[in-house]
Parts: sequence; C-alpha cells; structure tokens
Amino acid sequence: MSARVLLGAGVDRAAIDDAAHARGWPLLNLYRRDEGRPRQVVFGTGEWLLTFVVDHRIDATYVVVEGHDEDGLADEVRAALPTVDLDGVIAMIEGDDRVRGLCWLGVVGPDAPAEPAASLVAHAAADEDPRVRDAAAFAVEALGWPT
Amino acid sequence: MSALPSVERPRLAVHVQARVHVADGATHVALFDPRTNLVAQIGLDDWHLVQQADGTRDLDALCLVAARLGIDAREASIAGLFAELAEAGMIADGLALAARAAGAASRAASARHPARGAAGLRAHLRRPGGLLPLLRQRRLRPRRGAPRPAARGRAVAPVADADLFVPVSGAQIDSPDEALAVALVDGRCAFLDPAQRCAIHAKSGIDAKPAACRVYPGAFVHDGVAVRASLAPECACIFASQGVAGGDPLVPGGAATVAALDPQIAFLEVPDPVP
Repeated sequence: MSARVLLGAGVDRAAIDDAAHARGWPLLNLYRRDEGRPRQVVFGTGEWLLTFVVDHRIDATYVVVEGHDEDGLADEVRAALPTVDLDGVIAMIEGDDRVRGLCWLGVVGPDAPAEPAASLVAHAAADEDPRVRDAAAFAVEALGWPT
Repeated sequence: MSALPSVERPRLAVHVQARVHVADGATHVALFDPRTNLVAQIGLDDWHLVQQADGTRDLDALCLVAARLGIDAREASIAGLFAELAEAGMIADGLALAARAAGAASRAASARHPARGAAGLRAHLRRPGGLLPLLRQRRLRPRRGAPRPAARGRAVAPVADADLFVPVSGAQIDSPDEALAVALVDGRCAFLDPAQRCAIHAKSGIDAKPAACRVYPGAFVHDGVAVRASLAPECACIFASQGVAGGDPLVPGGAATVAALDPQIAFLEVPDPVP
C-alpha cells in the first residue's frame, strides 16, 4: 500500500531538501529522469519511505508515501510543504487550469470513479480540445479506472 | 550538475593546498591557491565533502555521500559550495591522474639534477610551526554541519585523527609517497607539546615524522638546473644559522641528486620563462 500527496505548484528540489533537512528525513537515493521514469528523490528509513516524484510529463511534483503509518507520514508532508488536495484539483478542472487539473487528478483522485471527479472526467473525455481529451485519458489510466 | 554546468564530477584541483586549522577552539580548513594567492576558508563538514569529491562523483552522488556522512545533503547547498570553489579557480573536473602524472613526469625529468644546499647555511632550529601566508582571504559561507599515522605520537589539541593530516596538494591521497601536511592549532603544529617539542619526535624519534617535518623549515626550489635548498625564514633562529659551524645539512641524508631526495619532499618550480 502507498498513499500520494500532491505538492503545490512551484515546490522544487530546494524546497523539498529544506523540508527534509528541517524534519530530519534521511536521503536514501536519487534517480535521474530518463525516457521511462521521472526524476525521483527518496528519503526514508527502514520503517518508511517518502519518494518525491518530479513528474515532468504532467508538470507535477508528488510524494509516494510508504510505511506503517501512511496517514501520519502524509500529514507530516502536508505540514512541511504546500500541497494540493482533491478539492483543489477539482477546482482547477472547473476553473481555468483544466488540462493540468485533469492530469493532477490522476495523482490524487479516488481509486474508483466517484463524484464529482467521474463526471468531470467524462465531460473532458468528450471535449473537442485534444489536449483536454488526452489529459482525461491520462487521469483514467493513472487512477486505474475502468474505461 | 544544475548549479555547476561546466563541471560534471568536481575535484579540488591538485594545485590547491588545504590545511586544517584550529583557532579559538573552532576547526576550519584553509584552501590556498598559490597561483592566485587566494585563500578560501571552509568548515570541517565541507572539507569532508570536498575529500569525497574525488572526480568520480557527480552532484547526485555527492548528495548521497553527504547523507552517508551525516552532513548537510541539500543539493543547493552542495552545488553552492562547489560553485563558489569553482569560481575561485579551485575546482577541476574528473580524475586527477593526468595532473598527478604531469607532476611525476616533471620530477622524473629532473631526477639527475643536483641538490645543493645554500653555501654557509646549516640548520640550527629551535621550534617548528607556522602559517601559510594569508594574502587574500575568501570565506565561504558555512554549511551545517583517511586516518593517518597519529599513533606515532598523540596530537596535543583535540583534532580528530582523520583530520590530523591532509595531502599537501589536492584533497585526496593518491599515492603512498604523497606528502602530507599536519593540522595547525592556533598557528602551531597539532603535535607541538607544551614543552615546545614535537610529540612525534619525542615519542618515536625523528624517523617517525613525515618527510616534510624532518626537513622543516627547509625550502627547495628547482630552477631547471638544480634543486637549491635553503631555509624559510620562519623564525629568528634561521638567521642565527648563517655561518655557524655544525647543525644539520640542508639537503637531508646528503642527497646529491633529486632522485635521492625523499619523494615526499616537494619543491617549487621556477617558471620558465620567469614572469
């Protein structure tokens, strides 16, 4: 099991490092960005892991939280860095940041179709703008929803 | 390396001389560039990181080794350190083998050159110790923050064994013949005991001391024809040595040629042409 926390726009490596430095998260590994994998910065111990994913494909940075107390760890990330929750992503889709909001929904959306996300994705999938349709397809695929 | 685009795998350039100093109870490392007379001062944590930057590690690897050492592993902080050193002309890229080989080749080429002591001068010395000339000092911002033969004598001041000796040039010890420099405490050798004597010499004799200490304050200059030995004017007793009978020869062991000199004894090369 793992949980994901989506970080706010503009949270960069320096901010992540500063948070880790302040909270005492030990750096464990670094993965370069390549064709099949976004850049990853991994902090953790034998008990837990925080994998910061700088996903250039969707212009998002998010954290994959793994450990015995994932809710507690996710709360610690939220306390340390600006984050965006599902409501914030829904607001992006309904506002003027639709494409990015749909992509980010793929990070923090529900495991199964649920409202209002499901309706927003369905509308986007039928949109005339191919960028919106592609973003909706990405969200569905990333969340593992049935197509 | 985002903040250091021209250097992929940084290394302290071999012409830079690092010295560990303890002053007023605080330890720092002075990096002296004899080409520019620039001195950079860094903290001990940063020095330990510079030691790890041996030309094989990129920025990611330096972040990881910093984490392993338990020191500040932030990318921006590490990149900033090496960017500042690079700006000061103290950083090279990749392994030092080519630079070291050039130095060894130069020494080999002069192996048959004679080693000559200054006429009428022999060493009558009373105390070791001394500081590098700090002509222009650059203090780098502090970051948060290879065992050597200390067993031959105990350092008088609290300096970790691993920090007691550093290479005379560069940050890595690449050869067993490499000359080493000892840490200084308030401007004095860390092994200087309260009786103003070398603790290594007192415990184990002169042969236990590093080669550079055995000839200290000998000064060796290669002018292209011969290596000329004299004494650096570190104290008044140097001047009292002029014309006095007895004392130790300036060229240790009576070496007649460069080849017979201990390889740890470094000498300055007079540039050709002389600027």
